[in-house]
Amino acid sequence: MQRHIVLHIPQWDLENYGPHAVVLQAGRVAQLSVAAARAGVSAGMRLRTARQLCPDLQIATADLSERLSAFTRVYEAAASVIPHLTFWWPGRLSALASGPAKYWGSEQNLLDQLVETVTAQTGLETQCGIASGILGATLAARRGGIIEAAREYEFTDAFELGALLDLYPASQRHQPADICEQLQILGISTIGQLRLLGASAAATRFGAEGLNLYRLACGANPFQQKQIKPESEYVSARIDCEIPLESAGQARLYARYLGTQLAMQLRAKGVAPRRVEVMAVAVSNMRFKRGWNLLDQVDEADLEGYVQALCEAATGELDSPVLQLHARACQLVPLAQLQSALFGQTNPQVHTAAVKLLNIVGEQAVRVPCVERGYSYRERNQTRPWKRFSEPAGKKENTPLSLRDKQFPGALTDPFPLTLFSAPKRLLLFAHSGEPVSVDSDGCLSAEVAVCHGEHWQMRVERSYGPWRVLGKWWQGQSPNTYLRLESNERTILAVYDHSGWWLDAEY
Amino acid sequence: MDSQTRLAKARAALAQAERDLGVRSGPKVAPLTGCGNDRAQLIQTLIKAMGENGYAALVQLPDLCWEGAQVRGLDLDRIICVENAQANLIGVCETLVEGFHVIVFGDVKIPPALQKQLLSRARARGVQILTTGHPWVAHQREVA
Repeated sequence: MQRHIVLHIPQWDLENYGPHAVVLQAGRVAQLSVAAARAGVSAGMRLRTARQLCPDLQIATADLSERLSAFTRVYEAAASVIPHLTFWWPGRLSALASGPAKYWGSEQNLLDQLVETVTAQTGLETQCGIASGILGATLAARRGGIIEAAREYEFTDAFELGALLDLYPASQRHQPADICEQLQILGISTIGQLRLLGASAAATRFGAEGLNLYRLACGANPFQQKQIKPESEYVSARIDCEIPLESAGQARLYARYLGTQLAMQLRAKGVAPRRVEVMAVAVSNMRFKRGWNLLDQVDEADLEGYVQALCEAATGELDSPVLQLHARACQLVPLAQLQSALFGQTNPQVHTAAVKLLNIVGEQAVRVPCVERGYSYRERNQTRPWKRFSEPAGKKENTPLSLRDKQFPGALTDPFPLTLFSAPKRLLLFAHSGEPVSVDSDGCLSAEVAVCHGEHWQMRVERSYGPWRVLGKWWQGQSPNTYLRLESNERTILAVYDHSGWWLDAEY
Repeated sequence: MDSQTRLAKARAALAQAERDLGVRSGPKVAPLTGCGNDRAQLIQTLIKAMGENGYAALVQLPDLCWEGAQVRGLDLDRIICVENAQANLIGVCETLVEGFHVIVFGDVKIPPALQKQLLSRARARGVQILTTGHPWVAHQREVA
């Protein structure tokens, strides 16, 4: 049976800051120190509000390369005790414990050795735990202990569902947190109760994320991809520095180039890496290499961060300036495997861009189109704000047309226009006799339309269709409108008549 | 020798030079397409550019009837509309080129320098740019 060891440094990102510190994500508090929480700051709060509550608030860096560089000393200290560490995020490492436990004599020796080494080399207080499952090991790390295989469920079952969120990166907790809330409403409040629910019930009711939570509750690691392609399959990029790099600051442009190159190749292949390796070659041909095992998906900025982190470490290790940089993404898995199986998700690249847009132009200015229910084209043509934590774009709102027509008899249907003027323009319709065309109380035209005059244009009507009288929502006080489709050789328009006259409503 | 034959020879020579030097030529399709005010053409081009999995961002493109576009085959689930872009144009454009496969610019004025920058990044990333309102100064010729 496999045994796992987890090393956790609580609030790692806030380690080097004052007592009141937070990590921001998209302008909101993602992580916070205990002192900041005592001052009233909470996760998800806007920075402005947090500053009002806590004026000496410090903001910890969210830059991956800086966080990786700072965490490197912990990683290396841990790697001197256990090989093949899996990097979760700065502050969390895990590994298989069975082999190292044999090497060090027992699991207790391994645990002691790890804590002592990391504390001695970094001066940090660490939490380590060993158990059969990844959840058990993570929860055991909180208590700094070893959980025997036979007692594992007994130990984990008593924890509340919120403990499962500890296995997700801070940026990815919203969806599982929503599911945990739903489960609690349904009366499932502990990990043991979730485990008893069963895999099929979790999957059918809560989708792929629900299944992930169930697997975590059972001690499995659903984030570890099993179908890893052979090591020989990888994508790589290399750059020769025109001027040898003497400092990490000079490497920024090269890091960006390598990150972009790798990301483009990965995207073209439709794969995501489980490991990134970067190597710096000095003028003296001395080499410095480092690798990271990944659980999260990475984008260009992350890849750039890994290269930058290596450059920062390399400048202290190499005896001469860096001449070449090599980056390699390996252990490739298909991107499709990382996506939600039941409902699908927005492309992560698009999601990231949309979140950035929200921060730039505001929440009301990033919108998704949707077709609502209604009688007229205008009523049905809607947009709503894009929400970062929701499904991509109104699957429910874009109901099939046939269904919508059944629900709204008398609604305007095919053919649909392509331009719907947000500000309708005044129209004048004339009959062959030159008399203006009007609509009587029964919705009938006073004469056949021959000419149509707009603000700066006119058209001779070749064919006209209608009139269609749309009663609209009379119970809400809407007055009936009369629609008329007019065609000439050049254009087709939709004219609407209300109590004030004719308007240009849409164009085909 | 007619002009077409000469052109074919020149292209073959260029392609050979590219292969010899290891230079990668840009995408075959120019990343910029002007659709004028013809909405039908715009929708057709957009559907084609999005393909089966592409996402599109529509920047200040008012008055579009979603129902009409949906009936003609546009997948609304892969569309995002961006308003108030003019005030932070550079940031918006950079973000869009990084994240989306197709960008449609409607009623938004983009300075020529930014147009060139955008086109260069779009070409490098394989992003399609469609314009409707203001004509772009930068002109991209289709590479055969």
